[in-house]
Amino acid sequence: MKLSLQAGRCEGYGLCEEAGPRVYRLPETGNEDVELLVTDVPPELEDDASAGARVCPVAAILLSR
Amino acid sequence: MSRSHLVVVGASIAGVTAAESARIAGFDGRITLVGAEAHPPYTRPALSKALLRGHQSAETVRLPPTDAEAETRPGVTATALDAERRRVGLSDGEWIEYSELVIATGARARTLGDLPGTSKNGPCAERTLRSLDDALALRQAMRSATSALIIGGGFVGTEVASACVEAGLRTEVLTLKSRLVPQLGDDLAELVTQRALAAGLRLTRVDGPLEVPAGQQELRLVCSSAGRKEADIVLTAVGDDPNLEWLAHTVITRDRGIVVDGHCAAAPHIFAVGDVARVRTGQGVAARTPFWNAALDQARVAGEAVARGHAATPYQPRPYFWTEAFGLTITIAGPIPAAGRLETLAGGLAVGAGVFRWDGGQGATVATVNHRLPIRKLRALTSSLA
Repeated sequence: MKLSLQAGRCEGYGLCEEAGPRVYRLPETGNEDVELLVTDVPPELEDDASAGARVCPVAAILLSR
Repeated sequence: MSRSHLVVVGASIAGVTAAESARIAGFDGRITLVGAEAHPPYTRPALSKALLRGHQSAETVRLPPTDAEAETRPGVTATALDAERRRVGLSDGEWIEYSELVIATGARARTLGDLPGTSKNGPCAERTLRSLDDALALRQAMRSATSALIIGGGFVGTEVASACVEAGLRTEVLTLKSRLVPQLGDDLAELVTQRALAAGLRLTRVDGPLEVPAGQQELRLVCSSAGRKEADIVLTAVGDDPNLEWLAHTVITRDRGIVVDGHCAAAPHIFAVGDVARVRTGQGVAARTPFWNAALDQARVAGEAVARGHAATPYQPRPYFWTEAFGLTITIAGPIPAAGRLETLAGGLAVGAGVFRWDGGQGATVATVNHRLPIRKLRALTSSLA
């Protein structure tokens, strides 16, 4: 599973981090986008990755197999 | 039945999340996801925001495909429940048997015809905004319209009004309250209202019911205490009603929503989550909470309960939502409407940006305005009173 971010789409809500804390991390301050802790998602993190992608209010997260 | 079968009725965020959560919690039977709409599952909050403003396309509001290995049945609605024989009747005539059922049938937009006191003379189609098709049709209509009238100044009405003003339409909102989005509390409602007026929105307060004159195929004209109002686009945005009718004469307790316990169970082997559900608490039965995050949290609880029964973690409301209108992006956590003394944690309300907290009687409410703060930090601020 591959994970990526649509450029310019992230608005920093942080719902992905709450749903998938092992995959997504929001910066402490400022206007940076979410940090993807992995982009090649190993099987044990797939649940976190897809849960986080699904809850994004602005559909900024792309998942592909 | 040889093998367990989870049937989820409703394929929006609550239904999809329930299916996936059941899988994650170890449910290894079959899953069937029944959805009324022909579209694959999509995210609703964007419909009245980026999609309407043309910043997002119909494809980008799709939810990522589920990992739940569920069989999907798009374009089919549930029409009957036979709890005794554990089966659900579908609009295509089929009955499907379940071992566990999750009801996530959501709500539908209320129309003027649903409101007490409104006199609606003859049949007349009303435009509302609930589904992807509604949003695409509205966006299309906005391209050729020069004026818009929005009935209702809540979140949907205000977000649509903002998109209409931005698109250059002469836009008016009819509301019973003196401010837009009163659910946010006085301070934020006043800010949104001031920005809306400065952007050119006309806000008209009405008292008493509206009248819909006869002879209209599609609603274009309403009569109110503030006079006759007419526009190219008239949108009714007066709240939603839960989709319950198909559960008449069943074991399900219905009272302006499906009443569920802390595990989102409505009856043995039957769960209800999202906009259709009302959760029983120690203090009574809470009102429906038709918000994205409540739907997610309830679906997670029900999905886990499908797999683990009462060992599942019970539902704890964690109110959070967001809105975008008139150049303001607002996120808010904690009880609403925000009430009590306003404390400015960053920025300032007068400049329309910052972080704000209200210490109401039922715990603190924290909001951001045009200020990025992840939900984790926002929640932390509701509990760490200075």
